[in-house]
Amino acid sequence: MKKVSVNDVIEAIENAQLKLDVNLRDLDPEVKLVDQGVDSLDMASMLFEIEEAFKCEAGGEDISSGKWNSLQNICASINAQRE
Amino acid sequence: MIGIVKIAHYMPNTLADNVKKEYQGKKVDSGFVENKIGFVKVARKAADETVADMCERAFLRLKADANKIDCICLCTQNGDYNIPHTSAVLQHRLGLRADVAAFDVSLGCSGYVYVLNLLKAFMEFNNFQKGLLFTCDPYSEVIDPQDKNTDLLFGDAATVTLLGEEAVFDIGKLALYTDGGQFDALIKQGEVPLYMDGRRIFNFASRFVPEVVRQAGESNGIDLQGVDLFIFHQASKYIVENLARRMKLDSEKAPFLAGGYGNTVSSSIPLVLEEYFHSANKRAIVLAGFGVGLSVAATVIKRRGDISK
Repeated sequence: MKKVSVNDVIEAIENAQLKLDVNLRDLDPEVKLVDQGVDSLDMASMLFEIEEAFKCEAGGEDISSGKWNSLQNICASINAQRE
Repeated sequence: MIGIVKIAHYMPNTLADNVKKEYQGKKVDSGFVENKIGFVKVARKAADETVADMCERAFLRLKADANKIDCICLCTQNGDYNIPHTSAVLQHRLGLRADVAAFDVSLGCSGYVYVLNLLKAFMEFNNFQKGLLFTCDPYSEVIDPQDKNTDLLFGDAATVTLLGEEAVFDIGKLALYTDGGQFDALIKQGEVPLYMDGRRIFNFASRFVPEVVRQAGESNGIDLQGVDLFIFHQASKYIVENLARRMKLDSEKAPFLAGGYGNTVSSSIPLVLEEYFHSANKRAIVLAGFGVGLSVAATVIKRRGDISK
């Protein structure tokens, strides 16, 4: 299965037409999203759309442990669930 | 056929200003409160104000003849006593006849939609002419004021809906969904304050409310394109807007009107419906409640005299 890239994640969120306070393409993929202006509600809806688009589960514990806290980590977590 | 005749409400005078609140010595982000959560203020009942007090005040505004009421149902999860049911207290307080049916139903944010249908069927089966559906669930009694997840959300209010034959709206069939596996996403146990896992509720609502609303449209024989208004439970501005986005609805068709008083649990839908009650162009209206359980209940109500739908 093709590995999911940061661009794939951004496209999935853009396709969902979320109204975010930030432009995801301007963000550093390696830096925590919350440190770049993504609030907890936008984080929740982004992760929901990612779950829907990539048929994965972004569990609550994983968020706090950092597996879903940056675009890079989100890609890695999706790919890990697909292996 | 039994339908909705009129609605009245009682809102406490005290409105707590969310923008001025602090939690653990830290001021809340006013932009987040105003633009995301949406509840700039939350209504707070007086400490000694009971559910029966609030329902009685709503009833006085309804201006209905107490002697003609055949049944009352109170939808609450925080009645005045564990035993007895608060609707019995109300029967006496409102001066209703002794032969009325009086019972409580324990449901949260999906409760109004459930009980509308329940009461309609109950009244028609028993040939009751007039019934009262009360909603009053003062969560201020059960939240931790230092828990910003819940303190910024919930407001207190009471509503009363008069059901009868000479109705403005007919009540349609229900569409339902319950996932009891997530019962602990919104829970109050013993002396522990209310706990809410906002993300699980958000995911549940995003995933299942649109589907249940579509089912409600189907079971009531109406294309959702022909619905004039979608009244979603006013869980937060963010959730209402998110549901509208996922269902591709114009924001005017899915209003968020609770910014000045909060998420009032089972009262949130009748409070919005009351606002549009006399808007003649709002003929077919979807009502969709969701939350505690976790559960969803949706129906379609139709303004009488409309032969096109």
